[in-house]
Amino acid sequence: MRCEDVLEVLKTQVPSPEIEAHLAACADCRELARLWTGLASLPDPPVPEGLARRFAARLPRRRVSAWMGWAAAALLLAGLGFAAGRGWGLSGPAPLDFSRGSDIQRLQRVTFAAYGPQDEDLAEALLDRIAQDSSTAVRLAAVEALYLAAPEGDRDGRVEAALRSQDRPEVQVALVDLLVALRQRRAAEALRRLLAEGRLAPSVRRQAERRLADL
Amino acid sequence: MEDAALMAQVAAGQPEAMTGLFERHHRPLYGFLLRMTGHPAAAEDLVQEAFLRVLRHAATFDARSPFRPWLYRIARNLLADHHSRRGREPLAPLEAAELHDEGADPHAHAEARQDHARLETALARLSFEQRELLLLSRDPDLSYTELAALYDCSAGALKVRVHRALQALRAQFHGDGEVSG
Repeated sequence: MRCEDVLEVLKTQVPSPEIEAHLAACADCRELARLWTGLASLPDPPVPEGLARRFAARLPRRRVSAWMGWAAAALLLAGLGFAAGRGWGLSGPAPLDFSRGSDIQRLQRVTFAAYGPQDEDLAEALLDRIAQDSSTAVRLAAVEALYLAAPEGDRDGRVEAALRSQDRPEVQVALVDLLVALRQRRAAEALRRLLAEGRLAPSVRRQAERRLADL
Repeated sequence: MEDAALMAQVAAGQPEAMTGLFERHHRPLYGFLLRMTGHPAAAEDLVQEAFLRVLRHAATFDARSPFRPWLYRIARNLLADHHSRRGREPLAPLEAAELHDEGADPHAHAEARQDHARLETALARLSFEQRELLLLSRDPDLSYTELAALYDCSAGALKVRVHRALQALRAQFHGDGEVSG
């Protein structure tokens, strides 16, 4: 057995009479074997807390199929209509009117809107909520819904515009992620423009810099 | 569920299957990258980016091959980019406190800490290439054949390189090696 072969056998961690005989005769290999064993037994350092959660947050959302979307929307409208005692929606708010009702009701409508039919009107209504809703939770839910409802690639730049006019840092951070998800590498230019403005909240700046580095 | 089955789900448009692969492989990958970069934040960024690249390139994964060497090929590319950007700054060895939880036997625990600290110092003083090779070699889930494929060399050539890297580690361990860049 050659000295170079000893490490390969040690790596397999299978006892071998041939190895034992070689190590008994070769002081050099005995020392290297001891070092190898120490190297192999070095503990893995603990991972930073929350790493798995942070990674999961960066995963793109799966697009729902059309029939699932329609089914979810039908269930939602039925549930909301009856819960409010309004029958089948004849006197309730229009499906894309997210501005009425309590915070919880608006949050429900915005959340489930993503599973219904997606068109320009829905994207417009969600962007309107992001700009105007008094509840940060509703704004964030609207950002989430746009993962499904926004036009591919943010072709008309409305997500970027929403990001620039947004006044709440936590919503801006979510919009940075959305912009990158929609535009992929083409988001870099928008992030550079944003960073150049120099009046960002520290959390927004950090997120934009981080996502720019990712790109 | 096997890695290949999870990768098939990812390739079929189910990104949530990535969480299973991440859970299974991110700890040793983080340890490898932390020892290579010396910076927890950099190691975390590289871990996340490696798995995001797995997601982006899932369609190119060959389901007949093991997942782990593929993941490490991606991670090595990212690490090489990181290393070329950061330059050859000296690497601080991992502190013993970063490695050990409280043990049942304080005396044995202290000895293990001391041995590990010497090894970590010796590893940190190796060249980038030798440190990387030894850290990958110690991974029980990477065979010599898979490592040889990672390094685009024969298994025989890889054995010689590992042997030389271990000799360099021994020299650093005993404090008579030159500090490598």
